[in-house]
Amino acid sequence: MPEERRTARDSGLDTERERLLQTRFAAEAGRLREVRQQVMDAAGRAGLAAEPAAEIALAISEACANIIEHGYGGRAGEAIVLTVDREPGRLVFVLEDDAPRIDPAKIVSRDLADLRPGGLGVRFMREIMSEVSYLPGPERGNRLELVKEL
Amino acid sequence: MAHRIEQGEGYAVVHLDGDVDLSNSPAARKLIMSALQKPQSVLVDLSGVSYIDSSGIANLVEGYQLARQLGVDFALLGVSPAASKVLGLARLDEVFTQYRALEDWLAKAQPTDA
Repeated sequence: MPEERRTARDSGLDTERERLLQTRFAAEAGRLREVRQQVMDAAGRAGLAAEPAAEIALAISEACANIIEHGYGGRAGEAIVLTVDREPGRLVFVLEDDAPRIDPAKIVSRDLADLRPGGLGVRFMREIMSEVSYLPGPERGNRLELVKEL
Repeated sequence: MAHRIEQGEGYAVVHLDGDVDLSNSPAARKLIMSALQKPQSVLVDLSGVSYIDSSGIANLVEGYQLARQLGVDFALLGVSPAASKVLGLARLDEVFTQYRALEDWLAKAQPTDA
């Protein structure tokens, strides 16, 4: 059953799912602003108001910033692929990179009572999104899935 | 426009501008930290901030903590709706002292007798 579903998705026959955005961009901090705008536009196309769209853009921007800073260690010439899909009742954001595989157990989300910099981006992602899942990429790299229930 | 410092008597205002993210938060941090090198109050003006991410918020937390160690005043001015939203998300809106404008801080910090 899952196999059939995947086939249907790949062939674009799944009418339950609509691709709102697919973009590949350089893993550079200077690109974040443009990515946020693209995410806000995609969320707008899915019918979200400006404020929740801006919150989602913050979560995705934080995820990208973590990939740039920690995944790629600030190395130039690397890329991130972002896809945004609308599924019934939710928006699904997927970020794929070629960075060394991360151990999800080592990702820290800062306790808000602990007043110090660091780990705040992950906290924002978890606060804003309904689900945040770190998965290994198909052959290498990482796949980060962020779901927003509507 | 970029982040900049405005020097006053006994205080400095660090004006942050536009989208504060990983691309320019190191520059913002440098300004805040350099302002704290002098024995003076440091005010961070967020009125021109259209977006701020965790790296920008981290600069504010770091500045606040250093100011506390140094025993100098550290406050936020004119916190924009966008910045206020993110401070709330970080549950830091109660941590920072906030003023609408520099004049409000001056009135409190340097009261003049009528």
